[in-house]
Amino acid sequence: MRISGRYGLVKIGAASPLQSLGSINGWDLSEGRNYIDVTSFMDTNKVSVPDLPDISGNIKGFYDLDAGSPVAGVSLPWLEAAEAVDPVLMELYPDSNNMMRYWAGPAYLDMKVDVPVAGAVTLASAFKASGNWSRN
Amino acid sequence: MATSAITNAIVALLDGDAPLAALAPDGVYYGAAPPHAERFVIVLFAHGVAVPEFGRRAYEDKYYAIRAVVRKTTDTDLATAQDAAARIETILDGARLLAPGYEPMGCFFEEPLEPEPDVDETDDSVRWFSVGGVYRVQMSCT
Repeated sequence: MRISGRYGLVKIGAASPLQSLGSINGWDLSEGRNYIDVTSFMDTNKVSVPDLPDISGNIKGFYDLDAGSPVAGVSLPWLEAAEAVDPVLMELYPDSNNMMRYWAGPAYLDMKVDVPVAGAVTLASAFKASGNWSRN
Repeated sequence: MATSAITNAIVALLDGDAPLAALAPDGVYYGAAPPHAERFVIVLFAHGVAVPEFGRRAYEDKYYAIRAVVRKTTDTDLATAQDAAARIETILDGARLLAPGYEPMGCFFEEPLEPEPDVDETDDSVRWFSVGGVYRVQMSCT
């Protein structure tokens, strides 16, 4: 079954249970790989072996510090995670209607705040794995 | 939350302003004014979007064309319509609109609508002036 990204979810925190972030409108995750060239004499083409996946990605949303709005939570844990020295645990859900399926692991986050003169104030973070990730 | 609450909030804010009522005493209307109105304000929805976040609507970003409309008489002319349009701008540019289900994000004067003299459709001896602007209204959904 195809699913809409409309019901995505991002959870974050120092320890379980993680906290749902509010006002999030997108995330992406990359498992990009480098390849190591192992081409030898007499090979008829270049031969490669994969390096480990490089887990990284982005989350983006709206700046919202109003307690109780949105329902899911406020932006504060996100801002604090980006300011922290230690990595945070993340859970990334494609569909909050199926909480059994998600990617999870520890990561470092950065933060970009965008304040356009005629638009909503937004936050965006790039993250990078700081330990082992899993897909559930 | 009903998106029409934003429109209603604009009409109510304009309708409650005494200086504007002096310039446009026949009232503020959405879409069309009643018959025989000669000095009034028309609010029209131009376009807009509902911006989503995960699981819900985050905010609405809407544009309204709002004009002061005046029938030319010996007492009223283009200047009357321009004064009313200026008053509308004073009220709305930077306003914090109150609408059930929403919190105000922003309300801005976005684009001028220059004077448009019109000949009355039923009586070509009658002239109308309309002046106003396009207003951008952003309301956060609660």
